[in-house]
Amino acid sequence: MAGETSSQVLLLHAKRLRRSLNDLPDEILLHILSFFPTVDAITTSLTSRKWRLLWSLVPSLNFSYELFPLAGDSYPDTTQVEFFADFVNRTLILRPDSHIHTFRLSFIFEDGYELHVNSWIRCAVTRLKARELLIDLFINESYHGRHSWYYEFDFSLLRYGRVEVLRLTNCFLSLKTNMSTMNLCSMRSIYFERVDLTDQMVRDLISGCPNLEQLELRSCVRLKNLVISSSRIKKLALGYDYGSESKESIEIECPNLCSLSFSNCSSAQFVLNEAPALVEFRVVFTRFTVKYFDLWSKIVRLLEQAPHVEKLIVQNWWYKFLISKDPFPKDFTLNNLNYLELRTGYTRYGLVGMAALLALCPNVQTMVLDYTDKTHKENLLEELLNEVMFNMPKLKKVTIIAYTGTQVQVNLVTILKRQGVKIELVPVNFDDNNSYPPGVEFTNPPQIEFLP
Amino acid sequence: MSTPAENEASIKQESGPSGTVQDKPKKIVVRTGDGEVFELKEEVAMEMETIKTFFMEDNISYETVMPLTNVDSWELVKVIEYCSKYVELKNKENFHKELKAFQDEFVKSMSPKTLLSLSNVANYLEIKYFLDFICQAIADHIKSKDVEYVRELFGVENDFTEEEYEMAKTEAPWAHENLDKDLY
Repeated sequence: MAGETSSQVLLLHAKRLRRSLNDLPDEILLHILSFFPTVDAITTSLTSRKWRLLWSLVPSLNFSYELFPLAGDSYPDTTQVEFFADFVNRTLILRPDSHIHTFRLSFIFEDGYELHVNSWIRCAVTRLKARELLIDLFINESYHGRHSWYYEFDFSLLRYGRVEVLRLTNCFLSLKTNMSTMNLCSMRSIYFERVDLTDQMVRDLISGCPNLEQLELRSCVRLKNLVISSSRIKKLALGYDYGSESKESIEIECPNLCSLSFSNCSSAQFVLNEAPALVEFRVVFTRFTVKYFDLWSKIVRLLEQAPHVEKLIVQNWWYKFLISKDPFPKDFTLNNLNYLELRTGYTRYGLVGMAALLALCPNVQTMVLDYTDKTHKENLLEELLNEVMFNMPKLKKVTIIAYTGTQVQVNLVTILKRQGVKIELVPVNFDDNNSYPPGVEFTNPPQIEFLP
Repeated sequence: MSTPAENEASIKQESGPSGTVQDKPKKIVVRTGDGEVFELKEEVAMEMETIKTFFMEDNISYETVMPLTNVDSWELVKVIEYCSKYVELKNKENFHKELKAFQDEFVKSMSPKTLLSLSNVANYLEIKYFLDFICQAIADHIKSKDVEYVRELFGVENDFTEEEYEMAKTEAPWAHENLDKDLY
């Protein structure tokens, strides 16, 4: 470095020393600690005086039962649940009143712990003003034997807080009868899985949360005639209730709905009232028998009420419509559809179905083909099978996931290439879990994702 | 040492901040704390809020060399590597999977001290996704380590008095007992 004086060199050196790790700013340390479950964050309090309280400044709390160390030999008379509850109690006492963004709790509820859980939630909501309350009382099957106790979540615990996002898994729910007076304006997004909900409770819930924009109900099996009526709701996801034979109807009346998703959703009847703003529509099934085809068909027909969709994610059973007594009206098209994601096989049936669907959406630009090896064969007319004509004038890009290079796939790729379509092939990775299990997935995004 | 132009940079047709119409790929020039000069592709440089603000806020011409006094050249190389890859993968269908694979490779050979340096740089350059990634990596690393290790890593002195230390221990006794030491 020509031209630099010795004092400049010294200055540079001093600058570097100042930047040594000793001076890692608190905001970075807090950011690192925010990735710890709280039990691990507390262990850092012995590092130094400054670190003693750092853990308590992290604006989130994360109590994970499944990650919690076992009581072990040091506490032979204590059960796992006692140990964990004690830990949560102490931590909440130690923690100063500074507000948190997220309170996450996973716990296996046992008889006698109502007061504990109530006080934890009250603390999170009222004292610490959590914006996100994520409560998982299921975790996974292995924690649940023949006897299970269930916690009852009292919705009025939320009254004096500002919770925006609520996730509850595996509990009862108690709602006041005059929920409309609750007026919980902060609530934007609700996710209920395995929650004991009745039809009336859903109505009450919506009337008590006037700003609710996102609602996801999974495995809520007591619903019979579900009605979702709200001018605020933009994103709705229902599902994982197949096997419960009792649902008679689902009616959706949400004029501002933008995104609608059905995953393994079962009902005798589906009604979708006009949804002019609907942009994304998704229908997914992970089991394949004739029964599910009927369900699929009922749900897919709802597209007639939402012909402006731009993004469609669907199982490719479309060939059925070619022989169905009740197909789409002759002039029906999805003109705004520009993104299509198909879960499809690569048999003749799959291709015929693909072509039929593409005929409905002349403006599709992007297509993603995801593999499913379970297609239900039926007797299609021989001539229908032989002539597969693809008509996709605007198609620009196709991604084929789980590409295995079968002859049919290769032929398809050839047809597409001839049309000037850009192809992306994603080969099969046998380490992947190729199924789409409806497991409990606990993510902590600012917006709830609707999981496949 | 300037970064070689590997792929084609995007060719912009609209005018640049200096008001003239440019149809050449735009580059931003920075100088690190140890005196090295780097040429960054505009799309990569704009991933760093600090750089973005510097040029955008006062409409500074791209001809100005921006000083990054708190960043060493080796650190900038790593940052550019990560951000370029992120920008490349951003719009792909398999984004998460491919990013994860890249992330695993990226941290494989890095020492914890390196990670700490990079967290500082990520914070200074204000690259949120890179900061989250580095902090998560650091958290994963120290989660199972004992207090002495953490002290050494962060260059922190044990400034507790005996009594204070005992008090701190009683505040959360079970949390410090490293009950599953054998697991690690």
